[in-house]
Amino acid sequence: MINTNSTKIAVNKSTVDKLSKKPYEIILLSLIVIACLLLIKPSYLYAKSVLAQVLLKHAWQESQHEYQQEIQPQHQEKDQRNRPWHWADSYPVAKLTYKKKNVSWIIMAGMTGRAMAFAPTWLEDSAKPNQYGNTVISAHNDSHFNVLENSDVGEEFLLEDPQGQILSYRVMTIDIVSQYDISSYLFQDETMITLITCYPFKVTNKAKTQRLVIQAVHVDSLR
Amino acid sequence: MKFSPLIFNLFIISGITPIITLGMTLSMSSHVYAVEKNNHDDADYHQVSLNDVSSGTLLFKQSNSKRFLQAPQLKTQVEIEINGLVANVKVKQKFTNTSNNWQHGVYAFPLPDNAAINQLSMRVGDRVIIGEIQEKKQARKTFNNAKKSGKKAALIEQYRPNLFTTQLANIPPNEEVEVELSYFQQVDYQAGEFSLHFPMAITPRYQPKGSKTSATHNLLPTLIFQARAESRAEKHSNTSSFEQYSTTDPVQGQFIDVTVDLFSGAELEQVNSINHSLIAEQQELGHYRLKLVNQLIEKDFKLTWQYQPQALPQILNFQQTYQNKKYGLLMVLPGLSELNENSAANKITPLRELTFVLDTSGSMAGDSLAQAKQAFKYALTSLHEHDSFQLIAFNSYPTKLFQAPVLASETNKQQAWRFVSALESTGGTEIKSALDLVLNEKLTAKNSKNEKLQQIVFLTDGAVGNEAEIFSDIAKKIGSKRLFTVGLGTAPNRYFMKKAAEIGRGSYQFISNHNELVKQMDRLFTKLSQPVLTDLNMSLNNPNGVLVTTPNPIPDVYANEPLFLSYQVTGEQSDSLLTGIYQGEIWSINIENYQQENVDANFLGSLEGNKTVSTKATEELNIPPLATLWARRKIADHYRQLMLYKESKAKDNIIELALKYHLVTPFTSLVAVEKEVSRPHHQTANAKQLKNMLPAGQKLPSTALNWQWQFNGAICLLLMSVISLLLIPQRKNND
Repeated sequence: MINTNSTKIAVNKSTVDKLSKKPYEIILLSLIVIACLLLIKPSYLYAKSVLAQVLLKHAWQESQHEYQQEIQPQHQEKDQRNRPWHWADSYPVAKLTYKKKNVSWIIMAGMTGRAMAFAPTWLEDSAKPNQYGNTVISAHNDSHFNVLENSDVGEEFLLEDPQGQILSYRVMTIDIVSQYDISSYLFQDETMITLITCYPFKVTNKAKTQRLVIQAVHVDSLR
Repeated sequence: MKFSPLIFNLFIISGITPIITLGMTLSMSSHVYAVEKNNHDDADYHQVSLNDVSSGTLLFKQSNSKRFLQAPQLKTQVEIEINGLVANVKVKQKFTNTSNNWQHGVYAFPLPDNAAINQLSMRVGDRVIIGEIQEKKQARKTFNNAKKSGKKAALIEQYRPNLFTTQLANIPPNEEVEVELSYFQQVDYQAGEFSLHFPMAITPRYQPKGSKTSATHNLLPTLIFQARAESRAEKHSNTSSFEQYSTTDPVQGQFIDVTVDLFSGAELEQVNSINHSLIAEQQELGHYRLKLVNQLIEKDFKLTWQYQPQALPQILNFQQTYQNKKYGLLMVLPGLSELNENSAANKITPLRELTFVLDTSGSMAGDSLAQAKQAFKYALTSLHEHDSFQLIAFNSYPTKLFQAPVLASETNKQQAWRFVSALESTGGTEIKSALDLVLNEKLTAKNSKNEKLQQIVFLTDGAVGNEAEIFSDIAKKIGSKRLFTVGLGTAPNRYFMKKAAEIGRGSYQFISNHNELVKQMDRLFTKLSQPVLTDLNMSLNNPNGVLVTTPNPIPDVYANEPLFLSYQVTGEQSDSLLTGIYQGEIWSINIENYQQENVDANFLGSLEGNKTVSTKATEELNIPPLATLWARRKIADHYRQLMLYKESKAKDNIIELALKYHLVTPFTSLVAVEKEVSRPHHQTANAKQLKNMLPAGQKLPSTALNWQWQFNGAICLLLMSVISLLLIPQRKNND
């Protein structure tokens, strides 16, 4: 039962204690260490999503500032856009605010797993934020979009684009769909946003096969 | 001393047990999940999503699910009339609602590319509902009203370019549904062969592993079908055959009749059906009738035909009149130069300047890039020594091989080949900067007063985000250059590639399997090396009339690549002149129209005869197919304008055209609402809730980090261990 390593540690640790109880203590101590190690990954994932938003908000303000000051930066090239951190491979495209909970997120371009670890992401094939068409945004349901669990029809979202224009969107439909139902990506004949996150929200270890799809339409177009 | 370890063990066990239980549940739950998944497959037998639809299908809606149940299909009748390049397809399908509940249905039909739908009618029982084009918002409102008040309604909308869906509300239990649909389509042409494709393959079903056929009966009761004596005479069906289907399994018993009237305007070399055997007979010169009777639906119907080969370019002109305007379709068939030995000997091919733009982004890794390199090698061999070329490789940034296009000498070719061989796939796909480079770079080449035909071949597998921006860029900078797009894999944006090539007066190509790449590219480069007619222009002889063509500008004609030109003439005389450059010399031909509804076959040099064809394709609507086709192409132009410049005027134009020519567009729907209320008020339409999910192509992003599960587990473990550890000193004190 007792291997040489643990015996050595045990001997070092307590020479006074009786030999019989040491293995248990060691097992418990190592369990604590394992538990701590196991904590690292989930904590890192969550911390990343929270901390990234801080950096992104900073980058967002900077680009807004630039726009207002009419500084002509080389915005044409993707690489010269304001990047939240120097090794980032994406850039902020909009700021989304959920009015009810008074929370806001900076949206990044490119719906990839890599970008989504940091922020909600915008599907590059969909319409540009605040422009005619359907703007598709998705985020994890256990980080950014966890507040969408109790969202309801009629609630409002605000979307701010890099030009500083803020449009307000009212939730028209909330659907729960299969992950293979991509009909929410479709082009729509109005200015609208589609928010996608995993469903259900309850904590499991399973891969979630359903998605919560919230579609909100630009308020002015409703009048 | 002997007793104490036992107590201590208890502490330990109390600490460890929850952890083990935790681990057990974890592994158990994943096991349970696997079992559940299998069950899903069983239940999914009849379930499909709109993405799975591969032929005309009636689907029943389910509440809280966007997947559908497939309605049993009884009979499909198809009548196809082909006028040269335009096909008018009439589809008649019968379905049943075999359940005992009212259903809300969706009829989905995967239309071939370039098809323009114009008519829909639905028959539920004895009632007939006829479609009408309305602007979309209005259309949706009408439908919702109908749904609430229990009227039957059909609504057709264009969601994605090639899938049409019709909503059918309130289908009574055990009722029969007949859907009639007609659409226009331009036939395909590939390497001397015309082809028409009609989708009739069975929508794929997912067979359960245990193959429990009873599962299907639970979902949809077996087909209950009473053969109804049809009051209307139906050409190719009879009651006895209907009864026969009722005894067969609903999945198996799907039969189809197809009749084709092919007006070719000239004698054909041969007519064939690829997947089915059919009976063909020539009614008169240039009119063929083909029949396909009682075929099991297994494979798509694909008809192919070929004209008799001619040495010189052959011009076929089809024209119809609608509301004082003449609508025409001009088909320019490039001749086969091999047949004309005299001209082949002293054939002058224009000098070319070929620019090859190659995507080397990370997604091209492996075989794709290797194949693309191979294709480039073919491109090099297709160049003559007086031609010149350039190579641009791009990922996140574009790289030019040469400062300016160079002559296709052996040394330059070798240098290019060395460069290409060394390329590796890495980085992102920045299509815009690559196109910018190629378009700007070519401008400098033009300044050096060369008169070469400038061809750009653009190969990518990437999706394009900023389409509108790129389109306007191409439109601005393309000049006299020609752009040929090649999309590789499943990701390329067809809409973008097609439109970019159209603006660039070139052609587009999609290669879904990279093993096909070399072969297809070889074909493309061969084509590029054989331009037949370039710089085409069409003008009216009558100066008072107005001639509008689409596509505009008119693309070039290459060997084995005919030109389809749709046009509209306002004014009395529609005789016109087509000019271009043929073998280095200015070439022109008069296109004469003798009378309305005539199909003229003009051959270059000599006129070989006119064939009169009576067209009765759209009796109900009185819109000739050629007019519809013209309108359809015009709408596509306007739609592009809309996507490019967000012009609201373009939207109004689309709506106007759609209403006038009875077309379904993104902004108009075909609506049919029955006036009589058919559903008892106390019964609500049923939509069963069933488990969803099936593997199929694209899917929504995974949006769960799943950090909490591990987090909670780890915290549990931590707490248990700490508590147990804290209890040890107590035991020591006890000693």
